[in-house]
Amino acid sequence: MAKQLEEVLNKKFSRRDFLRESVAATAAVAGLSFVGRESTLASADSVAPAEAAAVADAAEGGKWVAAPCWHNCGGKCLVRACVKDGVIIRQGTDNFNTDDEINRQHRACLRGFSQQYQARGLDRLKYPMKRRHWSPDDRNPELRGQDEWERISWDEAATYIHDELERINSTYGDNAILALGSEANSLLNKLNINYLNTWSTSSWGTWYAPGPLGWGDGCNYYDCNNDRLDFMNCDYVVAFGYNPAWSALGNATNYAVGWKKAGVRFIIFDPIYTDTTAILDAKWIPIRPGTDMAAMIAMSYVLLEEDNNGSLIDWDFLDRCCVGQDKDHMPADVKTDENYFDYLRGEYDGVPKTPEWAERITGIPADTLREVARILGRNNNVAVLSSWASARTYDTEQLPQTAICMAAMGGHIGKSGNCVGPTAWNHTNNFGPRLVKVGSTGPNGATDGSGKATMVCETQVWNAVLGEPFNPTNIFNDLNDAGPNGWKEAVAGYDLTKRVEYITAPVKMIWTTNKAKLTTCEGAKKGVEAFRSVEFVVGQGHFLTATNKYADIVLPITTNWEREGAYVWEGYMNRDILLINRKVVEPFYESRSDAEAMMTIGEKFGLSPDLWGTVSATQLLFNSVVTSTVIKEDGKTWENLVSVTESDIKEWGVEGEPQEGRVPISKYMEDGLYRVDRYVGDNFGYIDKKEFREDPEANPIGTNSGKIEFACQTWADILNSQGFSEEEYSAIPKYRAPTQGYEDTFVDGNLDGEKTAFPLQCINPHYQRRAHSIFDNVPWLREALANPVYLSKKDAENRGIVDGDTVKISSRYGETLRHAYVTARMMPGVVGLPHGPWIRIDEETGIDHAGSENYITGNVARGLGCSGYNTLNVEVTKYDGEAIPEDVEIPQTILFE
Amino acid sequence: MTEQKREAAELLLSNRLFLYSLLHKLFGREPDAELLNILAEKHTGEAFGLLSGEDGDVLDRTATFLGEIREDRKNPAFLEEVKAEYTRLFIGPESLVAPPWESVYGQKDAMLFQESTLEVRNTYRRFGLLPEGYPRVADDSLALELHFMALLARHGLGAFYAGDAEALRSDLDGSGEFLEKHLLIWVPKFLECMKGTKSRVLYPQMCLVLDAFLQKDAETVQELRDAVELA
Repeated sequence: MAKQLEEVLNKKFSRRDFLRESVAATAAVAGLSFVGRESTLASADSVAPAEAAAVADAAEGGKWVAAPCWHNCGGKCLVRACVKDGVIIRQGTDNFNTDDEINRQHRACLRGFSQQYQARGLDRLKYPMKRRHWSPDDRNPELRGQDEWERISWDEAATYIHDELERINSTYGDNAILALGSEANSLLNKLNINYLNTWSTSSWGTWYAPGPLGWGDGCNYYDCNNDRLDFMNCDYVVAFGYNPAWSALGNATNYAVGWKKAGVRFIIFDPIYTDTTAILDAKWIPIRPGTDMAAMIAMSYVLLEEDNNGSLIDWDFLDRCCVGQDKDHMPADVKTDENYFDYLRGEYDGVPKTPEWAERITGIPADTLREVARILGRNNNVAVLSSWASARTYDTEQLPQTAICMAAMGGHIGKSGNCVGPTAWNHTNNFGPRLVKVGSTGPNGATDGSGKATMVCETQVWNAVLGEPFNPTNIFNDLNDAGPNGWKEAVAGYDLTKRVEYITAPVKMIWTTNKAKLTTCEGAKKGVEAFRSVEFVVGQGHFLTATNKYADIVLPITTNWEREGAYVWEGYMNRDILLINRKVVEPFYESRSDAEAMMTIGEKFGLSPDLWGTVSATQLLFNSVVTSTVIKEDGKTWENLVSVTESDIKEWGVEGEPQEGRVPISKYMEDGLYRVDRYVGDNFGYIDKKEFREDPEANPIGTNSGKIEFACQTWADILNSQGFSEEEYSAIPKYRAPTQGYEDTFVDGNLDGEKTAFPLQCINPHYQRRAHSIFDNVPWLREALANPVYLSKKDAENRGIVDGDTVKISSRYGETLRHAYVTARMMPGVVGLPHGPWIRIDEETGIDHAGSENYITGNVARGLGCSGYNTLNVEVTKYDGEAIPEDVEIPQTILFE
Repeated sequence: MTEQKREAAELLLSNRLFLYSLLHKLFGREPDAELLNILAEKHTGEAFGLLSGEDGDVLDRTATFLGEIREDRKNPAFLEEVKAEYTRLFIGPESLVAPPWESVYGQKDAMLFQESTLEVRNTYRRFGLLPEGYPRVADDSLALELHFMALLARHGLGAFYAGDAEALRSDLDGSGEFLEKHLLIWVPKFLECMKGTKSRVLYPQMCLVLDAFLQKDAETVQELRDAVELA
């Protein structure tokens, strides 16, 4: 007989009693209360009768849904998800467009292809959670970041947040709440609460606000360089810190390879021999971080010194189109006698800005600077691309002006094959007005309140939380929004004649939403202190990010995959294409959208959800799609992007009218991408400032004088009244040794003297594993890309460091650990610590184990409040503690080791 | 089937209904005092012990372990510790040493909602079931799979009492197949990961018990299946 049955029969006990107890115990279990639908099965009919039936009929395959990458890497590529019964069974990309030298498919990179590992990751927040040792009566703020958690309901979370918001606002008044990110702003506004919010130049550096110079910032205003096909007409591209192969991936590099094939030669100034430099077979000019201005100034000097009756300088262009270069061309508004050429000659400081002068600062041999300067002469067609990276440095507020002046001297503005401007990851290396435009959603019926934000620069935010005075100006942020043609209105409300007054704020609550600011703001060590200093912290997002980890309550938020579709912001997108995404899957567990989270909390205050809008998300999406337009073959007139039929409108369940258009709406929504195909000689080209060059009087640029300003009084006035530095700025651009730059690696900045305890310069390259801090938690990507610190062979050898050693990178502000990657591609004296890892602090030693750049940056406010990432002095030593594991070996999510 | 054998079968069917119901709630919700009371009941230890193969094996020792709860639960801090452990091991939001989802262990990528999740979902569907939270929750969580086993056990016991051999056979077949294809495959791997935690309040130990119970239950199901066949 069977074993268990036999044993039961042979066992000496009362089977009757056991059975009775078993029945009673089962009843007792049934009587236990149950929370959480996630652990309960129910009758399929009661859960999803229709869907269940439909799925039962579904065959093997799934349905493809357009799900373009929405992340902030600048690639803006197509991702598609094959969905079967709510499960992604595979991912795809642009495989339906043609792919040739001119017109590329917009394929996703490794990050886009790992989207499902993020959206369906094990570490997604599933439920609202509360820190176990936080309650309104017993806060234990010092335990933030190290406490246990407990699950709470949305209703409990909303009640806590309501009570704390009300208490803090009524007790402490204005600016007691710091909103990090933008998602809480709508609620604070509707509650008529005045709060603090932040701004920063973290991406742009000092290219943040070049409007007064008549230039765009390269992001919001992107017609600041020529169209990509026109780049084939360059003889040279001279670029500073230009590495799309790492920063954006995909077509930005593809396009540049196309230019190279057309015969364009590249010269790239960068401390790293980058993949971009390699693939373009560029001439690499290693340069010390933070010194690009000195190189530009010295090359401008060479143009002036070596010019022989216009052999190098385009005097006609300077005469007609520029002011401030010499005493005969001074703009009317300047308050100085100084002109740029006399500055170059050393008339004001006794120092001619020779290549020899620059060599000592930049590390570039003087002869190399001379050689490149001659290339920058008027007889070559040259595009000068100044990346945001080289401007992401302290005390380089006049770098954009310097780059523009240098290019202007060679006449490299306003004609085919010639331009100067900022570049970054945005717009896929493709400049000019959009060829396919996002339409309007129309009004959504939202009602605003009167709560307003006081803006604090992120370089000062942690100190502001800790009670220190901060500069409350918002002028730079306004300038960034206003661009080259709107800046005059933007500055009208500011007094540019006297210094702005610093204020303090009684910050008692931090509400962190869509931007992981503890990871992405400078001086995170102080940031942790700031988080632990307040009475209440709310975090919301997809994960327990390094920022949310320091919250008292965290709220689970849906990803874009779980929301009604929307356009990917066109401000980042290649002008040739328009991407759109649709809802891919239902919300993950109890997650809600940010807006729904605000409505949930708002209801506790008696606010109606209608205040956030009365028009359905589907209607808004439909409205924006049907009003999108695409340029016609003539390059002048426009037509509807999509055609719409009565049955489309019925299917969408919206109000609308049938219309004619380039493609059927159903096809566009399924593809997720429309591309305007280009050819050499088409009507879609763009030459920046072409009309200006031809007739500057009739077509002035956005500067005060209408001309290119070698002396820009407005910019100097803005910096001197609203800025963060004590020292005065002149209207002409002048090199100043940057805080935490090369000069600061020497005692007292004396280049002939002793080195300080932080003799190396650290830069923060964008890293392919992440889009800023996004994706850092994805195991797939961690496995592919290890995120080491890059050291030059020479610096490593001097320190006895070999590949794979655990090393400690120390600055004046903090310490972090990484594995060393020793390479000859790094300029000696420079350390490359990739940007964006999620901080992982060892509480005992205070050392970060994640390689977070922001744990070792400082809270330094200079100039326009620039985030000076690429100016940081460090030392690197072999770590004498326990070696760290590879990131991929670390359990997903964070800090549980 | 003899009357004696019938009695033994009834007892085993009833016992597994109790244990699956208990394990479902143990792993499917934040613990409370009532749950601790049930765990501390003498019968609960005996119910696991009934399946013990030899003296000193995990199921044999379970009664002793659960007996300690009788004392521990008198300390109010104990329940707080158990709650904290449950949240830390099964909810998060920090990383989980042993994520309680099948898709984490069967597939090459540790992620929720994979094709294996669909297989589990479709098994539920065959029995007219779906998660209440469908499609927002992953179907292959430990708690849902245990609920599936508990529901089949309940249905099977009902069929036994109704004398519906065919229904009982179908439920036992379903249970046996689900054990073989799912729980017995991944729970041992889950247990291995769970051993990585330093926490030792209640749940890591109960994972050990769960694993031992599932292996024994596969034998129980097979025996009962054969007994139904003979009858």
